[in-house]
Amino acid sequence: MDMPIVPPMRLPAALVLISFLVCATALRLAHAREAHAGTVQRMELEDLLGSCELALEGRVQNIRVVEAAPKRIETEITLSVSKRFWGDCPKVLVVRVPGGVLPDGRGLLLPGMPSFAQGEELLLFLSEASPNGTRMPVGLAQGRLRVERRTDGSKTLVREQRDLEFVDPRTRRASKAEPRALFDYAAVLARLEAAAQARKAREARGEKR
Amino acid sequence: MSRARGLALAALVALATLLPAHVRLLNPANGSALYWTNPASISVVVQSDGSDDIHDGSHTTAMRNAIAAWNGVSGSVAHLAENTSPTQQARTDWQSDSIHLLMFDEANNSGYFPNGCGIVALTPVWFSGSGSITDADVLFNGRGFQFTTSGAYNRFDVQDVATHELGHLLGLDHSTWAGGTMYPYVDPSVLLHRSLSQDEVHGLRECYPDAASARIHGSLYHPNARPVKGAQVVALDSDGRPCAAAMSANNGSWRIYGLAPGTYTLYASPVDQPVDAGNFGGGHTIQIDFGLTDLGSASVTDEQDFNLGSTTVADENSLSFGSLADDFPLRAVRGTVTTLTIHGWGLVTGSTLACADPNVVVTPTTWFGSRVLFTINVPIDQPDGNLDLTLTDPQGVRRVLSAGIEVTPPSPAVSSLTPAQGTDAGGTLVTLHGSNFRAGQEVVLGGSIYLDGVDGGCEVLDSNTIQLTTVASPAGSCDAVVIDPSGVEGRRPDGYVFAHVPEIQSTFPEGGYAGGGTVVVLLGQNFEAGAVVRIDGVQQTQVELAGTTQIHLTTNAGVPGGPYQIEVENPGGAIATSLFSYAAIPDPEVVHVDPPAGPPNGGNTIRIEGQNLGAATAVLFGADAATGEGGTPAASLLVIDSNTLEVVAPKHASGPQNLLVRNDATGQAVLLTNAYRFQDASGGGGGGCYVQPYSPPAGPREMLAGAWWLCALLVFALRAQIRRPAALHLRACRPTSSPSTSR
Repeated sequence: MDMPIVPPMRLPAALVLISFLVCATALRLAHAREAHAGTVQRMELEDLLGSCELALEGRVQNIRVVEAAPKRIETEITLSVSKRFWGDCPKVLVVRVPGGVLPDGRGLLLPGMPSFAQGEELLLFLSEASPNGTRMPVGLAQGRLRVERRTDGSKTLVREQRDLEFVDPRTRRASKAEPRALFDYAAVLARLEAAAQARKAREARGEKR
Repeated sequence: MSRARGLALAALVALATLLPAHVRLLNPANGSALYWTNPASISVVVQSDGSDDIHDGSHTTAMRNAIAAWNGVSGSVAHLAENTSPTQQARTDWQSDSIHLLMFDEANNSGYFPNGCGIVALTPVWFSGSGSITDADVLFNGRGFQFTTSGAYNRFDVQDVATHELGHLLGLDHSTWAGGTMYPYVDPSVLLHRSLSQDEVHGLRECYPDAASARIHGSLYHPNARPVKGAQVVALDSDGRPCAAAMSANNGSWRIYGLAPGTYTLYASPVDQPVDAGNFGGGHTIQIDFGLTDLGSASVTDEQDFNLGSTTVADENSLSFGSLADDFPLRAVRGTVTTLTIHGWGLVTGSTLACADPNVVVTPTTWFGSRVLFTINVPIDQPDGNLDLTLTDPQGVRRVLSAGIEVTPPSPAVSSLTPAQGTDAGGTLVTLHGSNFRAGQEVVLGGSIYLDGVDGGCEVLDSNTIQLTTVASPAGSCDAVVIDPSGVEGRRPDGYVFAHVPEIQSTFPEGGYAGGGTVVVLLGQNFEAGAVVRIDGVQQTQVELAGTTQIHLTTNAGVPGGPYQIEVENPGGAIATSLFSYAAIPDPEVVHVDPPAGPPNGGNTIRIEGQNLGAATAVLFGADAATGEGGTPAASLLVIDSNTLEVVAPKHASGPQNLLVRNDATGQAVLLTNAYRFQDASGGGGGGCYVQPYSPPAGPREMLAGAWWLCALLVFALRAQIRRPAALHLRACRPTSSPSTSR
């Protein structure tokens, strides 16, 4: 069979083409990182891990709303940490986030802030602590993934949709029995592990994200 | 409690559960809506420090525009009242209940913006147990992000973000409309959230209605009779445009408020991408296990509450249309064919796209499975606002993207301004030339907003011309910006310059010979290089600027009379005025003062000789050389003839003093610096002296010309310096060259 004859590309032309492709790819990637969300930056899992000080999986043991100071209503969340993806923390971690409703009915609401419920399992991406000791979920609601268990006991992850009902994880749509899965648990763990390794390598080279 | 009252209370409670049908901020503890108890006057303050990224104070203008957007909603009593007190604007205590600030947090003083948090702006809302909002402030993360008011690349538009956050401050949660201002996501390139969608308009009307209006209500149920919670119900107006929305409550009921009389078509759809339950605060239950469901239509009259009845929702499907990858709202420009892309799932060949507005033509170009490329053609005469798009797959399964597209006019363009400069004192009539101007647009110039058709605002004369009269503004160049009600804008960077207003504080002398040649000193401020001086409209040709506070000019010939206006006009057109007269007689000159010194007690006679002295009316000792002001008059003055005066020296402090001879009738004067010395008898004296009349401080060229010998000395010294290092260098090099010399 006759094959079309393709003239060999001259080296300078190849270099120009490669340079162009590299530049185009770099520009594309840079633009992708520039995508921001309304009150929050729009973040992928890798962005969440790259920005946080603590990334962990755990169960909410206790929740307490306190008035730490005048006009400072905070929710104190006690977490039993089962896995750490980034950062060091004790097995029982107490995190304070702004907002909540006090027993007397007074409250502070931060639109976009995720809510927490006792007993739920979470993947949490937490910022560094502010001078007042509070941390923020990175990207607000994006920084909190709820771990749900399928009927067979396997794990899946959903976002804030605590009140969502009946979602089929296979079709990524609602169904009658399962909570909606936005992320496959194992796939998320793999992505987080890869992101953690990449961040570690970056930081070892002294690079910032 | 009687049974009847108990039933009434139960009915009220039941009714209250319907109220949060729209997307409002809810108390997470009990699901009740948050509200202001005094919505007609919610005081807000734009903090004066602004942003580190914006140095011209234009953040204030941007935030005022955002405030104006919400205040422009009709049918609601809600009003954001800006407190412009400088004392209040200087405050930073956003935690205080007594102030509701819009401010940039540049150092994470709030604690809400730690490094890496990804939060651009936040509106903490405090509330009481009753649900009344007790405090709310808009905080921008100035440390983590950069902001702009001029469209700078990759920075967040202050007005766009502020409009969104003020919605939270008013008590609204995120919107299910992809094209709404309360859509949870924004991109640095997005400006269209500056303008409110009909969803926000109706949301505010529902929260704070100013009068009863038409409503439509109904209920949603699953096929198994379970209520549908958190479904989005959208009303389309008679043009097929989405005009209002609500969310179903936990019992499946929904009610849309604030409708004008008319006919509406309604549908229910799940809140699932690009907006989903994660975008709402606590208290909302969102179910998405159903499909797009037509609810029928309703015609309402004034204040009617139309019951659309119960509807069983359609089965769910796996289609998805619209995602976070799309920067909503997508813009469709009237009068042009716009190509757009929307992401999703199930976007396969054989599907169709349709817009409920029959005048809008949507044509899919390519189906990629996870995205679709299509064109949209909105005729030029169609109204602005949001559009729905309905996707139907080959099996007839449907999915709607609510209000994801915003129809806008073409962006205004500013090509030039006439004049391009004016005084910072304001009052300059400025014409903006460009294209796509239309009524309702506003102009931002030098931090001031000029509203169309408002006193002190601007006037859109035609689609190419806008006129306004400037108000006092900070000096410097500024962008000329025309902002359309839709939020799109036209900008001419540095299109206009507000120039300093010069000020003349003194003119000396105040009169001069009509034949010209009088040296006049103008003292003042804000004189700028290139300033022009005119006397009675005649531009003076010999003008020297000495810094920004002095002008020395030698007059041209003029017409005897006056006083005439003497004007200093800066390059920007700003003018300062004073008075100057021309006299028919030549200016006085003094060439000899005899004796040049006398006792501090005065009393001695001094002979002053010169020319044109016959009309002298005053001789003063110690007058200011630049202004001619001050000084001590001679004890007596005797005019001998036009060339000679005899005066008796006054009592005066010791030391050399200026001598001023002035004609009070014409303002002409001559001043001799240090021409007379008051000194004790031991100080010597006697004898006459010839003096040079006063001349203003010389310019650099004259100073150099008079000091040629100094220049020569300097050149000589420099040459010596140049030779010396060379010699040193030779000496230093000698050892290295020694091998060759020692051979």
